[in-house]
Amino acid sequence: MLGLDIRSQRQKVQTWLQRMLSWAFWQTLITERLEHTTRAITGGLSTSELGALLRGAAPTEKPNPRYRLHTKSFWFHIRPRYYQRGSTWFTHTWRLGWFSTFFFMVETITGLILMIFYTPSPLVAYGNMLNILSNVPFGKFMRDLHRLGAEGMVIAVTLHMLRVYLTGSYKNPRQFTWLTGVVLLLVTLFLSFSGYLLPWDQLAYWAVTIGTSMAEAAPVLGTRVNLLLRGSPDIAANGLLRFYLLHVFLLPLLGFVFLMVHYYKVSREHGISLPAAIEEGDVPVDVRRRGEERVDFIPDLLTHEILLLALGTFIMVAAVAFFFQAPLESHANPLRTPLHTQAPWYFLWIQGMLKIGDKVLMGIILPTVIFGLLFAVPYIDEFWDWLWKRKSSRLGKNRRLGISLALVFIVIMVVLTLMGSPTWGIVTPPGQEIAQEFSPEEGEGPMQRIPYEQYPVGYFDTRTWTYPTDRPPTEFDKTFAEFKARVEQEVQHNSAWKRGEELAKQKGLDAVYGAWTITEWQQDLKQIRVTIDWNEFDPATEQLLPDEKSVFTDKTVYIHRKFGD
Amino acid sequence: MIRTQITIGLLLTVLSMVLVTLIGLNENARLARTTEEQMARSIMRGAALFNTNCVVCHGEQGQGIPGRCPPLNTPELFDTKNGRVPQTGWSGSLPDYIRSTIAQGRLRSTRPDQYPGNTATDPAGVAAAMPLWSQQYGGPLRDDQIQDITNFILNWGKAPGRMAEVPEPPQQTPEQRGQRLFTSLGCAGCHNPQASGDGGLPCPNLGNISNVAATRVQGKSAQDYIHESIVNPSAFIVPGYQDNIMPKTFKDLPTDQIDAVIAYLMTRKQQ
Ligand code: HEC
Ligand code: HEC
Ligand code: HEM
Repeated sequence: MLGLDIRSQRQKVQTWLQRMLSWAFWQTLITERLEHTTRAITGGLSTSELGALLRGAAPTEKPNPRYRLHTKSFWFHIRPRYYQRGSTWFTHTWRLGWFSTFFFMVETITGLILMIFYTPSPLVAYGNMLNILSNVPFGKFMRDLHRLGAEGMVIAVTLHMLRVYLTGSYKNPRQFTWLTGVVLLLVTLFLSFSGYLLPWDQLAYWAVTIGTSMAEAAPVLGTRVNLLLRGSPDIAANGLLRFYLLHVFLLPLLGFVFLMVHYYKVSREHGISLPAAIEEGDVPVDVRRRGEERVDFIPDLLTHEILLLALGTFIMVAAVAFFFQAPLESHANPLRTPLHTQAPWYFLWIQGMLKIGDKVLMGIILPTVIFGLLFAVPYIDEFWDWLWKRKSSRLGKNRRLGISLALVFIVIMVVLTLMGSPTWGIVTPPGQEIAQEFSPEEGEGPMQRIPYEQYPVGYFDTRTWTYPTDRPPTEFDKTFAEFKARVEQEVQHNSAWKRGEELAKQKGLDAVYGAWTITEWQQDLKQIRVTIDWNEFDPATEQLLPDEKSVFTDKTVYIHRKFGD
Repeated sequence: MIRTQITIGLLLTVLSMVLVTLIGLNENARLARTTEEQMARSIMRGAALFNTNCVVCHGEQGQGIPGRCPPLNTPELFDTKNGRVPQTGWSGSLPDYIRSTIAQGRLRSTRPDQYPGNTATDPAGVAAAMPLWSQQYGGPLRDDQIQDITNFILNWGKAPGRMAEVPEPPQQTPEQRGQRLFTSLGCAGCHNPQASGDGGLPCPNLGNISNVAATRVQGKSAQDYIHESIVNPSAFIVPGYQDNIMPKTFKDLPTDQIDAVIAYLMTRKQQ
């Protein structure tokens, strides 16, 4: 009537229903979709191929779909299809180049997150750090990771360079790889150094002040370079902004560019070197043959790298969760030089050199020469072989001189670092030094570690105070006993104090003493006045200085009930 | 090999995630604790800054120096209904009042009858009641330091007016005790006990007072003169200085304190 064939419609619905209810239909649909999606995501690998990968089995199709990935996927195209087994041996590379890259990535990610909460201005930078610590969820976590990653990167890159040197991998044809590597080392060091300033605390400010003042010593260009870096004669708003831009823009950019060039050389042009013994046939044939075998990147090395990634991440997270804390001292204060200023540890060797020679030679010329030599290592090496008409060899036994020189260089660096350790301090009278030991300007000393409640109110004098025997000693008792011992020990070891003490005894004057006057200053706030008074002896006149003229130490410390530690 | 590596990798990833979760669960408590600790540290820093910058005028414990500077450790400051904030017509909060007073100083005293200072009437145009402190206006302190001092002053608000009892060494000479009292009583806020200089205030230097005092009033020993200067400053006005600047309230001090201060001042002499 209406041309509506109800019966055929019914049939259609019925067959449709049947199809919907059949298991086989769903099965093929799902497998098909799954297969399709898997291939789309993995760049052409089937599900069974994936399974084979995870089992470590041979490829399921021909031509090898895993190789195809290296042309289809951007990320895999960067990596080679296979390595020679010898070049992947753990003891050959120690995965140090890999870890350098890992830290670089960690720094990039955590750095981007920290950037959100940071403004490069002396007015607010330090406040931003406090805010990151007290107000941003996971802010402290990110900051600790970033700081730890920075130190890790310096270590990894340096060790990576050392291994490349020791395995002779910089030699022909990899000279240029080495060259870009040294650039990366410089980028790494300057990245760390420029980041050092950003928290704008005392540590940052003074470390960078020493660092940049070294540049100042350079002949001709020094003051200009310094001015360019700092933006003004002292580090202030301009300097902070410049360091910030170096740190978040220019240096990372340089780093990425050079890393790409560096890695392109490694992966595409020369491959990772074989261990010298394999390359030069210094091992039994079967070992050599095994070392030259191919190892596919997918799945063998890929799995290994994923393991390294998991391992690296876990170590970082665990370190930050359990013990590593990025330091934060008090707000930068250009007017107050800390008692001990220290460069970051990886620049201590320069500080050490500064102690033995003048600023220009030790602070500028020698470091420049050292880095110049580093750049030139492969070329000097070649020249040396040419000079003695030798064939180039990477084997340790043929490089006795080169390896000995490296070891001597390492020893010198370690010694210089140790020498450089605490420096640039102002010479302080011993009384002040003792007070500083018990309550340092920065961080926590023994006095800060005494819990608030255990500070008794009263006057305590090393001449009269005795260690309690009738009750268990408190933290205060223990610390004050140390203080007393320290003051008395100074009298024994410091000749001026000792002589002063003898003269004072003859005259019936007071002995050397230290005292703490502890007051409940405000609610939840105690004041501890530390005084140390000694009989100052003037070696010139062999006389005691009158009370008027002699210095004595008077330091006021405040402890709040809830300042934490 | 591949399977072992994948298993270990998975395990490590799970462990990392567990750790991050643990950190996350603890995060709110940690943030709250850090905020509290930062406040505590701020008060500690503020106490030290107050000690180096403000005590000469406001007294060691903010008790003020009569005739010179108002007390800060006083219920009047913390009484936001009838206290200093409404009295001065300040429309902001108490912390703002304190912060901005420190930052900008006081060009002109709001209580000239009690505390002198007015740049407008000072011939040299410098004698403000209180100098400014913020680096923004050319003062010596950063704004975060001013915030620290503000936090410290506000901490008095928990028990305003309470004076801490400072323990004294049992065996000290009167001179040593007097030296402490000279500072804590506020004399040092006006007088410089060192060899020379007046500390920028219109008050006589006391670096040689033990010699000077003997010559001031015919027939009066140095001790007696100093005693009189403290308990009755108007009896003799040092030439070139004004009456009514040195407070007259010291006559109420316990005699042992006055004697200790005199003993200390008697050590102030130049050859
Ligand atoms: C040269 C002496 C002097 C110094 C130093 C000084 N002040 Fe003052 N301050 C004064 C005087 C005087 C007044 C009272 C002015 C008035 O009554 O208007 C005052 C008022 C104040 C007030 C407001 C009190 C009120 O009741 O209105 C605060 C808060 C204050 N000072 C804090 C400080 C702090 C903090 C410092 C140290 C950084 C400091 N002052 C250093 C002299 C000084
Ligand atoms: C508000 C400022 C102020 C304070 C606080 C103050 N004085 Fe004075 N003092 C003066 C002035 C101004 C003079 C000079 C005028 C006079 O003789 O009265 C003076 C004079 C003196 C003199 C006489 C000096 C001389 O050369 O003859 C002595 C002694 C003295 N003061 C001791 C003290 C002692 C001790 C204290 C603390 C207990 C003290 N003053 C607190 C302002 C002050
Ligand atoms: C940010 C810093 C650096 C990164 C990320 C990095 C990365 C890498 C990577 C991933 C490799 C592959 C081999 C391996 O893992 O050891 C490699 C090889 C190499 N690197 Fe680096 N590197 C850096 C710095 C340096 C430095 C400072 C030098 C030397 C001065 C250097 C010289 C070389 C050389 C010569 C090779 C080839 C080694 C071989 O073939 O055996 N690299 N680099």
